[in-house]
Amino acid sequence: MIRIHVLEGKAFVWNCADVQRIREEHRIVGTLVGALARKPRQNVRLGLPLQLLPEEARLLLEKDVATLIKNPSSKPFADDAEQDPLFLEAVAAYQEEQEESYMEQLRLAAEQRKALLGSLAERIAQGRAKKQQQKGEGGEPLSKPADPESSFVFPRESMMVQLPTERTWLGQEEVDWHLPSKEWPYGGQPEHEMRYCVFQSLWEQGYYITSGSKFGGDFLVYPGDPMRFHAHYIALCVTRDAPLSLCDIISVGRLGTSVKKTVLLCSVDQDGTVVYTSLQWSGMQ
Amino acid sequence: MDEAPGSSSELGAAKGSGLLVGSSGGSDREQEAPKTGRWELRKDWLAAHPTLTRMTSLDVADSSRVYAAFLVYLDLLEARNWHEVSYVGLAEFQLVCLRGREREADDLQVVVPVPVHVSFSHDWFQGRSGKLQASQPDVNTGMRQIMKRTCTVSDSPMSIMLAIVESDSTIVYYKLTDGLVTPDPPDNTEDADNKQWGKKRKRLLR
Repeated sequence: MIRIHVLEGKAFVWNCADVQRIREEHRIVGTLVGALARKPRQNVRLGLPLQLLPEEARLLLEKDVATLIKNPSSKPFADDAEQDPLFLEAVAAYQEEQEESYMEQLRLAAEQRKALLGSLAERIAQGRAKKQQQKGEGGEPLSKPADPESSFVFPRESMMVQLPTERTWLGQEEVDWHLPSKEWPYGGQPEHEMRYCVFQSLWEQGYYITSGSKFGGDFLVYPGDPMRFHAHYIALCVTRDAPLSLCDIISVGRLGTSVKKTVLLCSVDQDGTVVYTSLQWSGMQ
Repeated sequence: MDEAPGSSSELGAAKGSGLLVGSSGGSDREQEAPKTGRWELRKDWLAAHPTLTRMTSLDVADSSRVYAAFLVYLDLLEARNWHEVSYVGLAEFQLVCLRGREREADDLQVVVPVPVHVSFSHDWFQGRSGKLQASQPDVNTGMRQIMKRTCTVSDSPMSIMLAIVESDSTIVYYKLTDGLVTPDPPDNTEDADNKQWGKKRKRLLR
């Protein structure tokens, strides 16, 4: 079962294997929204968690391959937890693990440094000799540098720490996604039901679908994995009787044409089938 | 294809005279809308154009829609050299629709001329069988209903061309097709040759 964690109406997947399965087996893409620990201050590449659109999450839930989970509302620990022997034991185990991890990282870092110095040894020696020449022959020979291994310091602040993000709380509660709730308000919402109908219908035709906000639509529709294809369509979900001004049609149509995509107007019929109308700017000559 | 040199000035004239008689397309559309039949009183060529007169006498749409249809009719025939352009009134949608062939060998296309201020819905249809009152504008006309009504040939997906007419008489055409139409693959040679592309774009962006 894939675990989808909800937080204020947003759906996240924290497990790496689940993320892979979602994409490879179920053609659900989602968006990675987490910063990478070793590459902060950039957003070209992001990491876990994977955020899912409400429609993406619902598809997985309807296929019964995922469950919706929220953190319990009660506090994880009682106030006297610090006296609990089990708790103290867990803290001791955690600290021991940290210590082991530190020793391991210290060993690895020292090895890495030694290897680097080794590979640069020749250049360092050359540089030193040059410096000595410049100072003149009369100068005292430089004191021998200290042994690299003894001078190596690996500060504790530089140590990498694994944060157990998948389960930050003790115990988890399942959320019933059929009923609207604070965590998952979408069940029964007309807007969501319409978007889901369109999403599901496109997904069943074999397309990959992502959020369309980049191009001002509801969804972007890809003929294959978005890593390998450009989107073919910008899907706009509209209720069948809502008035659309021609100015809006012109602007979405022109945008679609300029990025070489077809704009799809999608509506849900009274019997639940989805109708599509392709909108293309016609550059008649 | 060269643009017909006379076309833009003719359309310009169309606009000018259209505003002179205070007819449609302009901001004073609303005041003048009910007064159809004033066209005959004017001696200038546009107002007295037999096609415009006949379009008006179909009595299916208000004057701004008829005027838009007439401008598109002129554009198709004189600027774009379409073939066999005809018009038909669709009372239930309050529209004057055009049909024509872009090239002689092409299939007939349906062109739906509309002034830019109009709104359509995607697929709304009023269930009742009676016709709408001509005086009651149907803001919710479904584009797909127009498509179903006008596209009778079944061997290709239904499609209509929306011809959206601005108050300065410029017309943009948008094609609506039933179902999913795969976009044209990007033409790399054209993109690479920027100068050519720019030239073509200039011609297309009207």
